[in-house]
Amino acid sequence: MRSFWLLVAEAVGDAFRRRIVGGVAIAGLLSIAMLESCTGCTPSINVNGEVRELVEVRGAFGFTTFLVLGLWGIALAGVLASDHLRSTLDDGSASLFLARPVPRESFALARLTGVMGVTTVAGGIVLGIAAFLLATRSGLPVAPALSAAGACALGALTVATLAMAASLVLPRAVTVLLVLGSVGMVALANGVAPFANDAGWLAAIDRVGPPLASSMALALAPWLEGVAIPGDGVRLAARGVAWAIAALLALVFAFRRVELGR
Amino acid sequence: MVALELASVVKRYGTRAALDGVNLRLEAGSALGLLGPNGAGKTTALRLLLGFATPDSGGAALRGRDPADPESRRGVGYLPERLALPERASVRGFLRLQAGLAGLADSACEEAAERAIEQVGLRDRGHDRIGGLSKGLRQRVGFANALLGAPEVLILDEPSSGLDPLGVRDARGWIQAARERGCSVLVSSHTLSEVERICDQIAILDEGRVAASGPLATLVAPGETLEDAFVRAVRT
Repeated sequence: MRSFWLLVAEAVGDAFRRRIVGGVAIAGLLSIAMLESCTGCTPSINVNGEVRELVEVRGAFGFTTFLVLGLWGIALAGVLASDHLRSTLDDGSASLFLARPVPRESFALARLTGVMGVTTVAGGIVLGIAAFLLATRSGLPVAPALSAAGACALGALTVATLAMAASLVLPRAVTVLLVLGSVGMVALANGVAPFANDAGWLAAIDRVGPPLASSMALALAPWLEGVAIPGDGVRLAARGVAWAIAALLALVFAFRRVELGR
Repeated sequence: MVALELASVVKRYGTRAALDGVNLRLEAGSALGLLGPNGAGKTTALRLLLGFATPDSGGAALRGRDPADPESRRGVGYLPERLALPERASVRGFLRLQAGLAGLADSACEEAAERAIEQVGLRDRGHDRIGGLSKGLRQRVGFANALLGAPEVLILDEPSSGLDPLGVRDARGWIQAARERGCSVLVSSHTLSEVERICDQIAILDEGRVAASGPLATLVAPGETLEDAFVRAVRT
């Protein structure tokens, strides 16, 4: 276990030193600035021909905002993971670590922890400020935001792990496109399938895929007034955990089979 | 006691056999020089011994264990040909981390790192970032890493790469010192004169097969140099 924690410290430090972290910080700051601006104004808006104050749709606004930010965090984890392990194979640095009595799974999971470290800090700050602004300015309760943040973290872990496993066999650009496409597709399926009579393959994705958006949406449901979100929270959580475990097993299995230094 | 062994190993990449029925054996305390032209399979042999790849058939063992078992690499120092050191880390920080990964106790890591830094002549560069070091100094850091914690087995791939003549001489001294305390050494190199000075056993690989092997004294005929023996082995 000691070697695992040494590798975790190294991988987290390495993740925070990457150039992409600057881009993540800028994206996070822009999100916070938009949130600050949007929660600070009180415009009148037109809903189905009826003029309403923003405060009347604050739940829907908070719901949508938090959901989009959560999906941003999930996609971010996948993008960061798309080369955090692969790069060590490409530059040969993995050989220096794995020439020590270090199990391969320790190395892979430590690199994953590095990705989750950056994601947790970035996502935690953005979602935390969002929850704070929505609570103090729009009066929305904080508890649903905490539950949704937990669901977001589980989704981020799943996507990052799958992206890391995919990166062992795919080029980085393809892995990034796969991450963005998959997160978008699952979010679309989660958003459309529960309300459509015949959603076809989107319904299949919604039923068996990782509940990336649906678990967050269900957690945030108390913010919506007069709109019921279908779904069983416990079953969604169980499916989310099952996907995370399956993803971790896939990563360990794939990394054990990788040949180093060729 | 056998330090490392390849037994009838076959390793293919597609249809090309990188190793084709290779047998290698390094007794504890001995030094084996692995020679061969480019693409002969030397680095592949080292990768199999370190568990970085698995043979298609045959067996590999490091310190009596399957190289897939991480414990086989306890007490093993490795210097890769393509040395990818962390650019932003300091020399001392990198070596302390590696000492910890090698299984040394927390209290011993600092001391082992300092000893290795001292040994390879980097006493004044311990705080320097690795990214700011010259190629030769990086190779010394690589050596310090391989020598951390007095390993029982040293696996060196092109150890004199990037070193100036003084560095080559120093490196030979570090390897000799390791041998004197009973360390087993496997050196893969193109520099025949270095191998000749360090090793008592030689194996010459050519196109994935062992073209010649044995004690240096029996491999090199009277009046011949190791270069003559090498050319004879790979051309026949």
